[in-house]
Amino acid sequence: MTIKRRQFLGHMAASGAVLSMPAFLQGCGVQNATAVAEATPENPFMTWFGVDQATAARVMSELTQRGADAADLYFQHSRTNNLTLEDGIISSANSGISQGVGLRVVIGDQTGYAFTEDLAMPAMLAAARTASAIASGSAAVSPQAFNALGTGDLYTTTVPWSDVGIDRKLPVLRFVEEKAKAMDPSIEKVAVYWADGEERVMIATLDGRLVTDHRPMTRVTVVVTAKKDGQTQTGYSNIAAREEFGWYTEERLTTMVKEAVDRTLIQFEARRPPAGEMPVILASGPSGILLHEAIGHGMEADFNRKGTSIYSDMIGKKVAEPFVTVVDQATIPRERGAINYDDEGNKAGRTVMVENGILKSYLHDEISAKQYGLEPTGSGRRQSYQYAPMPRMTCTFMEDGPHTKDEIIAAVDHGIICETYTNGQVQIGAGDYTFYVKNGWLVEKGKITAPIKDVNIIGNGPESLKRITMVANDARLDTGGWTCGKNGQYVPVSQGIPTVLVSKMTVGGENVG
Amino acid sequence: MSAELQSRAAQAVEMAKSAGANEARATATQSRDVEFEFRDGSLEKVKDTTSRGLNIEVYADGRYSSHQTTDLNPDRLKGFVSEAVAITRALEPDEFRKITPAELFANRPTDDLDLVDAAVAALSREQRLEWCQALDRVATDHDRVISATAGVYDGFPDGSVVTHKRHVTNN
Repeated sequence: MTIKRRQFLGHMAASGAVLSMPAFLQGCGVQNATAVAEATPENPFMTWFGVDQATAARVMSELTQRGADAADLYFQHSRTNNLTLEDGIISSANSGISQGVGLRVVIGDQTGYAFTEDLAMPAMLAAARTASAIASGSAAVSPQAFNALGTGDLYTTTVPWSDVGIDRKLPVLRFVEEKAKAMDPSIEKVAVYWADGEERVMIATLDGRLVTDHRPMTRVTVVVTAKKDGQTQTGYSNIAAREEFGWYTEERLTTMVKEAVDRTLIQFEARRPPAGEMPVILASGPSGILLHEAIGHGMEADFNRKGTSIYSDMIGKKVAEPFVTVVDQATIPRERGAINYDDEGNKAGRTVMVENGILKSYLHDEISAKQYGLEPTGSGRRQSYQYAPMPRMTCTFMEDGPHTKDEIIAAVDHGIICETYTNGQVQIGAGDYTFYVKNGWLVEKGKITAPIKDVNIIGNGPESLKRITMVANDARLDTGGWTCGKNGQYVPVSQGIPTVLVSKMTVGGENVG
Repeated sequence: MSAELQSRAAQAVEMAKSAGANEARATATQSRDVEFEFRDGSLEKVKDTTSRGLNIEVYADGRYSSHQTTDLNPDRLKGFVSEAVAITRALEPDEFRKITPAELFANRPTDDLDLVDAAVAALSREQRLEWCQALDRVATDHDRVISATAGVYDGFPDGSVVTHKRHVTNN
């Protein structure tokens, strides 16, 4: 079954109301008062740097002069803007422009890499010679003529972020702050963090693929602090997507604020649960972070080709119950983790990692795919032109199962529901993890009896996967702006999960009685 | 630090003041980083990079913001800095955001901490490979080791800070 974004949104916005346009969106044209810098052209490499196909071909020839199985040039121009509202004022802003080209040559599983921010021919040729030094004396390889593959349509925009001035963004931050303060008199402080950006990449490969991609991104986070009866509690929520300014509707922002306020206020009533091993229900949506960290990373083929993942010899074997299917899908429109092409110039797609409980596929970049004798899965990603790509997740989720959320709760005699998380640690490969649960619920004799907070859960990803005994039919992607770190590189991702029951997990609460 | 980078930092400060900033501080940086990585007895990755960039902090009428770019083309840098000043002026004032007065830096020690070992920057490919091999041999000399990755990394960052009154170089 293919889970589409619309289905997830259906779970998130059950009201189904027509989205209204808030005041800060009304009457705004494309022009603005402060966008005084030159707008980023659609293809800055050609327009700004004169990097045409002949130039790219010349650099590619230099890169592969000593031999290559594969090689690529990764041109990137990225632009980011950040704003912060704290202590009642919007007093902090940051912007950045980053441009350059990464040059990679691959021989077997050896990689030579260099990058330069100077896109003049001499600098690129020098970088190409540096990267090519990984090879020693092999015959030169002739690059194929480049064939433009076009671009994708997963996150097309009508107004690029470079055309949206700060004067249009400030009212959004103020709206979020005022909305939060109005929701409860105990709200003492509100912080709002805004981020927008876009990157344009052009990838030219030794075998002649020429790919361009325009990748927008935005995220708003609200952090709420409330004080009641001498206690102080803090909670947060955020929303993120490959979207444009018009995505920030009043309804969407209000939903985010309400979520943050609810998560904060419930902590005044919450307590820590009794500690020990017990059944744990992972709530739909945000619990996808466990799926991503504790299980998904073990499916990345670089860990498997090195033999350091617990899944290294498990292809075709049972790793979970038959109702468990785990997918990584880059093609969910406008999701934070979506990509049209991966950063090696391969069309991104959908990879079923676990199908009906059987381990089916790892996530491959070109190096691992070649080693396994398979086609790449479009999973080669990199943080920027400064890094070589490696297998990464995009939008990772578990598909719907045969149960309902109510059935799962009713099946638990004594356990907890984990709803939101603030941090965690995972040993990638082995899959041992700890996560800090900020919000959750105590379940006793099949019923939710009390809110809980500040709980550590401890386990092992593959073991937890085996112990999933029920999966509900309420799969949804989390709306938050997750960023995945691996080997010093950070990429935007999405993840989701339906409500699932893990039959046994270690819960670090309080010992009572 | 190249004269061109120092010049860009100085130009950026002047551009900011021309665009309406009261104060500005620009930092130009460049860095050469070399990384050799061995896995299970053979060379797996060589990365040799030189990066550069410019950071500018803008102060305007009690407002503050910071901005970074690796695009040092003079014409586009001018547009970038102008936008940075415009963004700053659109913010709300914060009385605590002020550039540190130069007097506060007076009489501070200026000793060379001797942080740069020129011999590291001059390391040969063969020496780096030899160290990787030595690390790899030690790591794989145990039966229970499934896989070992050994790496040698070194970096040589260099920076120059320019305000409208001062100019400091660090590496």
